[in-house]
Amino acid sequence: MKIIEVSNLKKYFYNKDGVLNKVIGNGPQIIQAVQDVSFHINQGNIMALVGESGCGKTTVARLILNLIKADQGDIKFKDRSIYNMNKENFKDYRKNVAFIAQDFRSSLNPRKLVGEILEEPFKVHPDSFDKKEKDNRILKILKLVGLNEKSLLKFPHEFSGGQARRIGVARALMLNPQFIVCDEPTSGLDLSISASIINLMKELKIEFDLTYLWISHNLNVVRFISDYVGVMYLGRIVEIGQTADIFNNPKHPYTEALIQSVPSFSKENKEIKRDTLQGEPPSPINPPTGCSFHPRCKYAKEVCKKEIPLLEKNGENQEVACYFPL
Amino acid sequence: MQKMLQIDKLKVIYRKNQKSFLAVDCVNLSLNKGEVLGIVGESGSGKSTLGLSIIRLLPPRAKIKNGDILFEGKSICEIKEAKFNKDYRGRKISYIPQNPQSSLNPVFTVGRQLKDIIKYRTDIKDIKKTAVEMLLKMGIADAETRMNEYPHQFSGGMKQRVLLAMAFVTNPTLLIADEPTTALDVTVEAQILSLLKDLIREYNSSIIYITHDLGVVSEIADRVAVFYAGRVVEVNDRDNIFKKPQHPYTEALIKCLPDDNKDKKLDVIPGDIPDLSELPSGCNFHPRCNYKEDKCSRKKPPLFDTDSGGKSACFFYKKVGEAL
Repeated sequence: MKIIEVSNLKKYFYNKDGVLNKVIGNGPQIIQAVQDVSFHINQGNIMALVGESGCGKTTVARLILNLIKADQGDIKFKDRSIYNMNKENFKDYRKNVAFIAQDFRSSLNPRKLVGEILEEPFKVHPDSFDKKEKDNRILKILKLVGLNEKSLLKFPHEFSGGQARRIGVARALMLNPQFIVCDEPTSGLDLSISASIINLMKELKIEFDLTYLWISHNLNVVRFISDYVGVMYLGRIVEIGQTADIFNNPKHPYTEALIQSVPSFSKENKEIKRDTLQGEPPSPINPPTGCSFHPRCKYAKEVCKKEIPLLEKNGENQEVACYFPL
Repeated sequence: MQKMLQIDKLKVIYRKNQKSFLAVDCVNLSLNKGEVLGIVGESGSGKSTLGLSIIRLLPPRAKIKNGDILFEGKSICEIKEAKFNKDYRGRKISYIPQNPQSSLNPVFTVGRQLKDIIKYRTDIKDIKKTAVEMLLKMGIADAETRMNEYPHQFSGGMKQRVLLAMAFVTNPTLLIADEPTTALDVTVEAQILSLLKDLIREYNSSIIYITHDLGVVSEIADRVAVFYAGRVVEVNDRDNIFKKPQHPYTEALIKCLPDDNKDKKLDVIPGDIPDLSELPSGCNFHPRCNYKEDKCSRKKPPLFDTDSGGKSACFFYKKVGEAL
């Protein structure tokens, strides 16, 4: 069953012409953050979005959470468009879709005790659990994420990075959601702590039958945890498919370059020079014509400069947006 | 052969809220000419402190308590600050900071900042030409125009290239690179790493490369030192350390990395990194160690010489690393 379906999502941001821009003579700029993104996630799967900073991964997450509204396209939760929901259904949607923020420090209110932070979801959705259930639930989830009861009476700054992240996870789980958007859940953590968070997320997924959208730029983690991967470049999905296929047999030149860029010590000889990608991602304000990857692509031909390639089926479970798939 | 850099029983002490703790505890390391030494460890393990004490930029609340750093046979702790600043810092010893965003001055052009280095830290006469050449060598196209731009007009990768230019223009004997690629995207990181490798070959500098990324360290280092709670727990050649680690901590770190086997649970090092002001007795790692025995909580292990030519601070180093 499709739990989330995103179709032809588009989001533009406008750089409003401020005083300085008026003086210099620049008009308003349009940032094309997300362009024609479509994918769906089935119940119980982990779908990962990967890409470099500025490629629009987090914007997709914010769109799904309806923190910002799409300019075009639709988001369906269990076959129901979130833009056409009535108030009641939408509140239900909010309850069922949780979010683990990237910046785990600033997403916890420094003036509130952890106990208060974890109670907050119940204030917004008072009818979900009654008073007694609520307290039991907080204690149960706290135990599940590996924190003890004493934590409830502490402030967020008293916790280490890994523990603060666990509080964020606990808060996301409070209302028994079906779907969690995890934005870079392991970034900024040390290796062994990152591993423990990954284990925790895997356990919780089984325990509560969860579905994740996992946003990350850490390919090693994505390869390990996800069932499906979407590779984003400059607001578009350039390749999407099953994780094993994407990693073992990338079809888009960007995916190939991304995978090759990951430093790894399994390589026998460090003298072997890797085929690194030249240049840096272009700005989404002025994206290149045609395929946005063509200026960095070694396989680029004339047609790539003119027309934008669309996602097409390539192989059983893979779709790729390239005129000359590998 | 004389060692280029010799760190001898170095202890760096930090003071914080009337408490003091050792951020670097009895570290012995040496570096040959042209060698790349990778230093890995989790946050708070003292790796950056070590880098800063070599270039003498420790914050005021930190002090070298005892031990010595010999650079080209001379103790750098005894050199007067004025002389050190004139002849060593930025000249013989360069530093690449972690965060390219905040390391360039936002109110001066990139060219001005690079030219300053050339003016005050080298004897080169043709300052402008050298600056342009240097930027071109770092892969910055159109260097002459870009010299007149400000740091905010450069992307993160480009800023790191400028910092590399600043570090290498003085032709340093020793370069300390403190996580230079952490803030960058993977494809840009790969570019900077391959640029750095070319530069190492060209300038024949010795490098101390500080990072927490085991992948990066294996890309670039000849030799690796693993830090835990202010101490070196293992030193060995790059190949040996990843194939057959001889310290339980190194082994545990390698096991933490996600691999292809999806159904497996990732290995985790139990417990937390100890607070440096309340270190456990005996071996710092023993509360989290799988190999521990009674002895470990009583005695601090010295650095043992291992069969593979490295050093390991574990009583049971012979048993470690078989499982990998």
